[in-house]
Amino acid sequence: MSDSRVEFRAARYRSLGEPLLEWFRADPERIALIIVHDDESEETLTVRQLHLQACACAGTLRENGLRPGEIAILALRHCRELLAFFWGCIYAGMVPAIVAYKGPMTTAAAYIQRLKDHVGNTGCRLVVTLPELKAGAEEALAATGCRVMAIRGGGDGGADAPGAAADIFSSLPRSGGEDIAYLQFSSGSSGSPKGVLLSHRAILNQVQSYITTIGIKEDDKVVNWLPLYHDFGLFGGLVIPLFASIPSVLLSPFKWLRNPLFHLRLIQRHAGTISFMPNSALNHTVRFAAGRDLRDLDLSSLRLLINGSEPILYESQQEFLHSFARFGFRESALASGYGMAENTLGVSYCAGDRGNPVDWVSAGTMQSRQEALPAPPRAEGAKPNVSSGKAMENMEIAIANASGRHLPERSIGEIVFKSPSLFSGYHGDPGRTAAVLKGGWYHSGDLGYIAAGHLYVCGRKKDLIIVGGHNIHPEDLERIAGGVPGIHADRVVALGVLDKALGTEKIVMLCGLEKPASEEEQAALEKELRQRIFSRMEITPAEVRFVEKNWIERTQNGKIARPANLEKYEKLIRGA
Amino acid sequence: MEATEARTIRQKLKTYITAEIIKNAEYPLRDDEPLISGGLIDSFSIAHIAVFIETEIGVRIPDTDLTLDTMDSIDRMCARIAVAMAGPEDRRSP
Repeated sequence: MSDSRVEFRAARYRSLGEPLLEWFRADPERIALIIVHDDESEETLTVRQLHLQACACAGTLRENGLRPGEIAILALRHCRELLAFFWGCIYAGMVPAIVAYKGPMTTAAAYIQRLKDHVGNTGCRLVVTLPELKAGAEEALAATGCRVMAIRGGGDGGADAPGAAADIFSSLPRSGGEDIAYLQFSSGSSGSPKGVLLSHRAILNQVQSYITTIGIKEDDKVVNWLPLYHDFGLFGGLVIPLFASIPSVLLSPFKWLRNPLFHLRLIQRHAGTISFMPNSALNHTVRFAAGRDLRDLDLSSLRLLINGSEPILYESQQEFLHSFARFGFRESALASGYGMAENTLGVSYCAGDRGNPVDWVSAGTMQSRQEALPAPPRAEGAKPNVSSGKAMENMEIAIANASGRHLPERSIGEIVFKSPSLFSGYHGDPGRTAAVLKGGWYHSGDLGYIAAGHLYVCGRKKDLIIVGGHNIHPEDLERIAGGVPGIHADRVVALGVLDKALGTEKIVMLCGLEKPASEEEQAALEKELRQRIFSRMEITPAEVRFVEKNWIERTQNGKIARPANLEKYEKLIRGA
Repeated sequence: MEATEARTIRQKLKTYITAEIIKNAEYPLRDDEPLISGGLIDSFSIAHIAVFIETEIGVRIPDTDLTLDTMDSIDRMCARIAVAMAGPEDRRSP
């Protein structure tokens, strides 16, 4: 493979439309994207096709009354039209926001309710979706003034759309890039999803940092299954490859979930060199592969498998390596990163000949002294922490104590960072923005330490549960539980408990009862609660436990004390 | 499919789902109880149930068929397995 590194200079551009347009002008017949459908058929898009389709979509959006700066929610399944409308919005200066399409396990009614929450929170003017949801969405959104537009979206729509509006670029942002380019919903659920506003400038800067830090080469090829409604999928799988002028093979997350080995087969078929997997995806793949015939699998083309968006477990990486090394998977491909939607995508990254560094530390001092002191590998009481890497190009990471003072190496505190790809704020919530952006430093709410320049993430200060790379706010779960008659509204706690077998956190719900309930009554309450949570949030708690209402610990000012309840729960489990 | 074979399959599935997925072998799972829409099992588990059906029952359900309609209860899974056993179909990947 060629060693020529891709160079991308963000300062040359003022909008996300420009790098794509530049590639189109320079090399229109190059393959940009390969879309893999759920029936395993493939659809190839050249840069010219993508560009022309984006132009056509930009025209359609205008015809539907959308003006530059206005938000369009793209509620589409994995298909060419999703990509074309995303770029169409960008070309026309509108702000796209991709949301998950209705899953095969969700009802239309529950999904439309979620769409309504998103529209209500963002003042979105247009929802682009598929015909099956049009009537329902229109009815639900009638009072909001938001229009619904249905497209065919089976990948069979007009191929080249040569009638694209010629003046489409007149609305490309000219301001210097500070205009908002994209709205990223940072948690997929809830009545109040956080809308992260990203400017053209922030995204362009992230692309430069990512391409340079990872060392993307001209011959690289990305194979991605991560959803495009997630920052990792959108930027890692779509925007960065396009701006690096390398092809990306895009597979739907549903297909991956139901058959994770197909992702590996695609890497083999396309000689993919870069792919992404949150930690739990490693576990899902290993578990799915067990006992299956993989004889002719060949993963030797893969040079980077980047693990990010949830805590990275040493065990998950080792099991993946153990399962796939004999199929050509190299240890040096184990790469890792840390990031968040508020920084567009990545903050830190590393890879090495022996994979990412592992720091063995004394688990005891981490707890008692808030310090990560080195311990001999595999010794009694030693814990392996996998590096999340070093600060990416143009970024600076520090560890801060409660008063914001930066701490020395190996002290545990809040991860804070400075970066040119930070968000412009939370949509309509300056208070929330000010709470995390202080003096130019973004306060992540995550806990970690730095050793030899490497960042190790080891906990969370904020109340957040991360399941399979998706952020879940415990308050959302608690609100739903509190609404179930029989469960005490103010005595419910939702916890994220690490499950090493799954490689991610699992949701445990402890529910205080309004009055003592029989086993049958509790079983009925549990059913009602599970069904409500699934229909509203499309997630499933691993465990629901009923307790006497005073069992739930509260703080002095009456709030739910999550750390205290977690400790109490863990004691309960150990005692059982 | 013989009635006894159908009963064995049903029992195998039930045992696997309660013990390995719900992780409570004592759970009184009804055959028509909604598993996914009822919030009992998550979408990751569907893939593992499909693997179980393939390796232990010898029937492959194409992954495009792993939906609420075919997988939301023991009854629905058994109906889909019966269809697969009645006529050969092979849309394999990996």
